[in-house]
Amino acid sequence: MHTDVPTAIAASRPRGDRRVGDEDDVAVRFAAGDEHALAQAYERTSRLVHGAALRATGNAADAADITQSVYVSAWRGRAGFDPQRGSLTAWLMSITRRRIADHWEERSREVRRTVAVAQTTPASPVEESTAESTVDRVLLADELARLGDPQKRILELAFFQDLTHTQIASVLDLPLGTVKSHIRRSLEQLRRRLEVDGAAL
Amino acid sequence: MLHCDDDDLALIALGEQADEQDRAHLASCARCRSRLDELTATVATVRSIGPDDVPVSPPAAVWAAISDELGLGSPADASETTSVAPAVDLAAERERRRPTRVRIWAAAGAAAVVGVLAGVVATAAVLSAPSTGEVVASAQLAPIDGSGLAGSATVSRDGDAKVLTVDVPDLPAQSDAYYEVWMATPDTSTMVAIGTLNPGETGRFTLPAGMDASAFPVVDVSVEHFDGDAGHSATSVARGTLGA
Ligand SMILES: [Zn+2]
Repeated sequence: MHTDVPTAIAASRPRGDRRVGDEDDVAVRFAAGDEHALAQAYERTSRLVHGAALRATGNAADAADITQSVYVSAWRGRAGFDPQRGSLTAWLMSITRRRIADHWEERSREVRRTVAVAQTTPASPVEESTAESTVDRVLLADELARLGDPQKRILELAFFQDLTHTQIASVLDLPLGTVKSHIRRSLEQLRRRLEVDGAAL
Repeated sequence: MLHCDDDDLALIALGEQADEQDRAHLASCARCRSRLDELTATVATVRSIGPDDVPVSPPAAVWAAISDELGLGSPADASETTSVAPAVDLAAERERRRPTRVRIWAAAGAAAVVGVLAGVVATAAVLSAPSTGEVVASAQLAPIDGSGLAGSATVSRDGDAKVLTVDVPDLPAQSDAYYEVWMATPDTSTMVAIGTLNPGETGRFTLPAGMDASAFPVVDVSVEHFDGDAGHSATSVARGTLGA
């Protein structure tokens, strides 16, 4: 147990401050209307946007359309992005969630038209929640892949082999405290990846 | 007010038993409950990641369409990189900055997750006694860029699976870096992360079931830094090509 201290949060900032710094810089220039920053943001994030869209729609043409629409509306709506409030990646992923949901809504409208069902049925919440979690899964798969060892090994054992931290410490021959703090920091890093920006277009 | 230790909350989210004190506190503290809920949701999402949940680079035509629709790259700055697919430019820039490094992230989508999954399989293989099956291919790993590190690699059968064994005897331990084993196409344009090689150990990695090992004959050992940045590629220390 410990008292509620902000240092706990500061200590759990991700490694690789350089990356965070670069991202901040791109985000600020993006907000300021620098086209090169859009290109850089695209280079860094389009794998995530397109991967999620592809997984959610299962269709290359739809995934390409969604990806295009995400960056076009992000650029046109950049006045609504505040670099102080959240990361550019989080904002772009929020737009991606929205576009995937739009896609399903449109799709279910088409189905209704085609089938000519008289009574309107709401867009399937199952589909929308699937779309939502697709973005999350792709984001976390990416974040897991970024982890270095020993964090990666520790998490693999904890997540996919259901070992307890005590078992992990003994398998990897690491001190118990080291395993615990790696688990806490890595899990926190993953959780932060899922933070959303409510102001998505 | 004493809140639950963050280490404990993470373990509880992963499914470990909360102790009496934490249980009592969680029953009465909304802040700790909500932290735990977020971590539990994160754990559930990670555990639901499937093989298709991977980042995938869009075709180059997508950037061209965006650039076109937004009218990017006015004639005044036609030489700017914004007028062409940025991935090409930035990749080229990386190449210039790090001439010895391998382009890994062209295949990062599939490769990255294969890396995660292969790591799990490899660990399982180490925990059980590895069976030494028939060797189907082997390679001598030669030092890259004067690393002075040489070794060997073999692919052997283990039932239906294939196992890559990698041995680089003099691999020095580094506090700020670790070693990753890759398999690559002959031109090394596409590399698949196979797993982590620990100094002083022989690495045994069960290859992913769907992987056509013959398409990835190059075995490469690289140094990876703990910078958490998938955008940075690696420095190779030893490499060889598998042959019969
Ligand atoms: Zn509390």
